Amino acid sequence: MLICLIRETTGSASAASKKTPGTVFQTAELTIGSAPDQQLQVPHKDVDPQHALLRLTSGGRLLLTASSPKGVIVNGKRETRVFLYPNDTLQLGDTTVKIEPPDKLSNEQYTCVLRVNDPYTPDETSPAAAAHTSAPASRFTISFWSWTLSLGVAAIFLLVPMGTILAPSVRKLLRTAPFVPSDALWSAGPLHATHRFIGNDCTACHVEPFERVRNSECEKCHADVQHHVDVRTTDVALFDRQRCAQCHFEHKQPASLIPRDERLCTDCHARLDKLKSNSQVENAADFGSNHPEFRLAVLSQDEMVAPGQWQPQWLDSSKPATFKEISHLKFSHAQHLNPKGIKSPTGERVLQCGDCHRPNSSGREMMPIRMETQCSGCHSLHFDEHDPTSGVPHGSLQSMFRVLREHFSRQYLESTGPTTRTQTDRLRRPGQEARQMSIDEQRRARDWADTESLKMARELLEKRVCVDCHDVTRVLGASGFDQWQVAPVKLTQNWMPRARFNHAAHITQPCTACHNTAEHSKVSSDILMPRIAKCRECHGDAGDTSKLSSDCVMCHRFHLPLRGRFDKQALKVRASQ
Amino acid sequence: MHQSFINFRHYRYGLIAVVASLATLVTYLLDRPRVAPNGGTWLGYTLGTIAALLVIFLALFGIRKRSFSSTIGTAIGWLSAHVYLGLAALLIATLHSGMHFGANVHTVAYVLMCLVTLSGCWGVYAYVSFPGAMIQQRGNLRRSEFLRQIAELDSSALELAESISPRITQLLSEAARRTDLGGGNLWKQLRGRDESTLLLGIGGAPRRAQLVPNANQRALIRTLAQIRPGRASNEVALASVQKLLELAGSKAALLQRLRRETKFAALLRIWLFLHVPLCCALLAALCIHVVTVFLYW
Repeated sequence: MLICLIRETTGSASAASKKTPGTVFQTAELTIGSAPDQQLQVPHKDVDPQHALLRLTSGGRLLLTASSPKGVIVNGKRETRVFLYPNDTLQLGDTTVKIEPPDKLSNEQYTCVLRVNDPYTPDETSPAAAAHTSAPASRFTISFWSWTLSLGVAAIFLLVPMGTILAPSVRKLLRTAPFVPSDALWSAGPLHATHRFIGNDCTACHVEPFERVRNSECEKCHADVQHHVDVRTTDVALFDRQRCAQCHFEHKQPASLIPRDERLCTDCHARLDKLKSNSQVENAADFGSNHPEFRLAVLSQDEMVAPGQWQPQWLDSSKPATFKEISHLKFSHAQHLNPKGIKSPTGERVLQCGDCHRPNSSGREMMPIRMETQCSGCHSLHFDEHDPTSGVPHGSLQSMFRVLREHFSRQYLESTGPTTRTQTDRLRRPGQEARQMSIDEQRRARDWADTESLKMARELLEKRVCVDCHDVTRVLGASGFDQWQVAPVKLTQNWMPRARFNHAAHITQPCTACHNTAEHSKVSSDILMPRIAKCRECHGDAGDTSKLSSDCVMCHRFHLPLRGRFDKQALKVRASQ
Repeated sequence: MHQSFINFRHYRYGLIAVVASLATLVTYLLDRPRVAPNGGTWLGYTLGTIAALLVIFLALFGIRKRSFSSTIGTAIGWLSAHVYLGLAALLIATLHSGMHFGANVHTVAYVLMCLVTLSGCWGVYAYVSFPGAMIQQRGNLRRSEFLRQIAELDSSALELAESISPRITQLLSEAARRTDLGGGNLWKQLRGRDESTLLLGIGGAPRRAQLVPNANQRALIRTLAQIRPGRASNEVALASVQKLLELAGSKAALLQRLRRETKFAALLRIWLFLHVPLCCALLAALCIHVVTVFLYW
């Protein structure tokens, strides 16, 4: 316990001469500072509110500890922790404090006696105190905070993340360590979900600083992306220096790598005739009002160009009256869709479009029409009404003839045909060797079977079965089984090879809403594809608010198959030009 | 009409800011970029450049207001432009961002800009409303006048006390010295709590000195009220004590007004502690934003 007597003398001579009563503090520690609650109060701008503490050590010595970084000047030396002895002098601001030897005159034993020499006269005290207390006595000035914050921001968001570029050895550490700033802080937005696996490896794509992402970085994964035009033509020059990122925007919100903006297409396609003088593709600016009529491609045979081969031929969309599909199939949609029904093995049956036209597993496209799956349910190829197992195969005349001959040969042998007495004799009996037919008998049997087969073939091909659907012609000068020819059937599967149509997306509509001529079409040469006006009943321009907003990529694609690789081929062509 | 930074030259900069904001907003609404609006479209780059130049111009105000000899416009004109164009700059920067935010330096720059603008708005509010309130409450007294009056009260109290006894003289001298005038660090100035103390029990053995709180001079008044001057109580001494009580009361009232004055002055300063450092941080973040956008183009 410290028992401390403080004696004050003021600066003025008259006051010093006056004997002022001292103040005694009995305390564990004597507080020294400029605040009013300090036991030894020294109001001065160089003295902190809580400046120092004076206490008695267990060894009975006086210890002065300065809590202010300014310290206390003891005997002319700046100290922060010092033992005090009698006659030591402390300097606090303008005030000197002298440690006096214990007062011999007093009855009480003081631990220490401090003589404080305060230069201020009492009437000057208040303004002097005010002078320093009104100013914020803080090291944390505006400029301190300004520097701290700016340098902090610079360190966190630039200097440390720069390590990922400048020092590849610490790149991984910066990117993986938690709470360590890395170049991920420079990301303008999240990656598209398909690119998330790249993580925060920014330099995977941003290889060169201050350079835009190059196509070569995209092609590290997207190696076989095809071009928009045939890379072997000069059209490829139109795409010179085209970057993947000019259409595929990354780090954007909402994330979408397939651009929907039609201007990415119409920048060229609205004025394609000016870019390419002999363009086969008409100009298009938007779907609703500035899009050419659909161009249909019908499969046809050109015996001059490629004999026996089916090639898609563009139809002239300005002359719909001349549209004709020559598939060599005889078919009437009207007859099959007769609302009163059509004959079937199970009686009268009303057919729906979907009974024959079935979607593939994705629902987008229709599966090809095949005799075996779609037609044979009703159109049986039986030729013997007494034998329900009799039937010719579909697809090959030779197979058909073979089946007929086998049928009639067996009939001859089984005597189900015209029987004679001699025939029964020829049959093998148990316990006897099978007797060989004589050559004469064999020829008679074959002749009979051939005659019957030809009769039946003529009936099937010319009168009741094949001829129902197929173009059957007679070959001039030929006889026997070679005298008939059935024109091969090829139905056009992809009417619009440059566009994609999704049947599944239109499932709420009846088929005839678009294929509206089907119910009245009597011949198979009719083309039942809808015209653009039909689509425009629902589909409008991109951004059309009264209709379904339809952009280019709803139906079209940029990267087209078999055009050649997007970047590499283009470079090669340019180099060789 | 008095010309302040609000209505400087018939709201010149206010009108400029409104026109600029409307023009930006209309352009933004009419623009049809190929992706959702963002800082990377042509409008985005344009707005970003305008916003960055505006931020630099706004920061230059900090230099202009310190250079008293400058003749580039008047200080009040600069302040007016600073306030109005600062508000417009936030709108332009918001449209520049296309409202895309994330955990990145770009959003940090934007948030800093919002904070700088918010603190600036508080500054405008303080500058518009506080000076009037201060004048009203201090009644045409300057700050030094307050201090002088308090010092006068203290010295006349001491003079009176000396005629009574040395003990009372020292009591009052200590009370004067241990008066909290409301100064100190900003936090103390803002809180405005009277932390004055009074030293009781002066005079050495066998009494021990004791520090008691003396907010509004209450402890002093209580102690003075208990004084029985001398053995032979005379009228003069009693009258002196009465006078001392009056002086203490007047001092308490003055101190309260001074404290409120100090508080207003601190409120006028405190927002700058946010506004200026945040502005410096914004400038740093803005530079990093511009560099890194093109670093990883």
